[in-house]
Amino acid sequence: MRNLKIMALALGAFALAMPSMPADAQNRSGDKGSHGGGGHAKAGKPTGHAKTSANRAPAGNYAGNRGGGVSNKNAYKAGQASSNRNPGNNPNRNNVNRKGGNNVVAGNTVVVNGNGGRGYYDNGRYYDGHYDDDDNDFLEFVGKTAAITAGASVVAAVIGSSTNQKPDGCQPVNANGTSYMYCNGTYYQQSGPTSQPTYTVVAPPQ
Amino acid sequence: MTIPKSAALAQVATAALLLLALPAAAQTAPAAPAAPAAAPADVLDPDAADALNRMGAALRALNTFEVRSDATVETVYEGNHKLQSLSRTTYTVQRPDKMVVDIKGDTTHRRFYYDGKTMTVVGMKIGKYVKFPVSGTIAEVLGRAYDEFGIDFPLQDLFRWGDPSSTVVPPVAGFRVGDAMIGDTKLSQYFFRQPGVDFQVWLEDGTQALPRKMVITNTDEPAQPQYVAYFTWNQAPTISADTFTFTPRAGDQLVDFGTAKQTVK
Repeated sequence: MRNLKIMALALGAFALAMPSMPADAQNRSGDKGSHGGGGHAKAGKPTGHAKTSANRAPAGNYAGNRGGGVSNKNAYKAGQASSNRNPGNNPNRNNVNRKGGNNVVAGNTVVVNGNGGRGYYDNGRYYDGHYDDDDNDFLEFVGKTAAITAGASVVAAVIGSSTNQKPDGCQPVNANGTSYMYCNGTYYQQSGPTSQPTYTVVAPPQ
Repeated sequence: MTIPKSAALAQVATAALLLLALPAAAQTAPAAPAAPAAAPADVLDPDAADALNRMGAALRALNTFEVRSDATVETVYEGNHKLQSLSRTTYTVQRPDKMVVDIKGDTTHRRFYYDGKTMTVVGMKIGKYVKFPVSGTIAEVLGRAYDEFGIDFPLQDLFRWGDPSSTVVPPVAGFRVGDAMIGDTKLSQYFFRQPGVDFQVWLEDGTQALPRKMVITNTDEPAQPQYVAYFTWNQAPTISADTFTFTPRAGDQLVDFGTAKQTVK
């Protein structure tokens, strides 16, 4: 039985009563941009939501709470790795675990497969083209739980997710003739126009 | 949890509080100082504090029960669009440490089984599930699920108020709003304020002060999104030997944490 090292990891909380995808209702009727000046109304990313409990239990008040649990609420941000990690000093930088079937990168982070590459991940929510499919949300939760029970301190990113925000701490890496950006434990590839690049999480180069 | 009467620092008469809460009264007030009517002082009215105690007692008295919440949930999106979605949550509980929670929304359906030692989380639509060890009373496990796994169960108040081992800080303000009816049931509506949250509960009048409706307003957000839930209580649910055990359907897959870390496609 693996030695469970539970890290407190309430990352953008897996909020159960919330819609898992933006309720892009108006988007379903198609992108008819004929309204002129400023375009059409569309629900973008969520910026806030209702609380579904008035009193949630405070942290760490339980008998048997595992000592040393780190609350890492802000750690899981694709494209924005934890700011207190120094990429130059990352001792595990080259320690990519290449065993078949194992996706652990940098020794103590886990990169989890998302469901396809068309999604966009931000701060605890996975946005995908499927508005009525919560598979990604669940897989993400599974990935986080997997990371936690494996003793990972941070779940780095979901492969296939992309962001327009340049991640922190990036260093260019060239492997097998392909250029990557290696940012705080996660590999990205840049694409799109230079005015508005997209950074997509990719698997570590073999 | 009990709210000590001493916490209710009622320096303003209850009647005055209610008067201030009624907009019509302000308009018919006699020529008064030019300043607008002051907001109600942040006072926890003793009647309201007592109502929370009665609700807590009613919840604690339930040992085996099922409560269903039909809720509208507001989410604010970019562009300040505040959209509602629907959510039905059913808690089937056998104290102290067994429950199954079914949460079905517009786009998701999840179920959580807890049998005192393991929590099984099922993605009902995706057909995958995970298990992890956890123990404690229901209130403890709901809190631990949040702290350790980021799972935010709705309506934890029903278990925190109802659990003698949990600690709930009394609200900073509260008052009885007035009478209400849901169907033929007479209720009393109360308002409470805490940092970051206003909430209202509609409690059954009579000996069992169960909540029938609850509104939680997120006052940390400028748009103040709300969660509005109507409750249906079943105090004699059918419980069988495997109510709190997940029986996988054909095609359901246990996600072993080893396989969750798969090679990239």
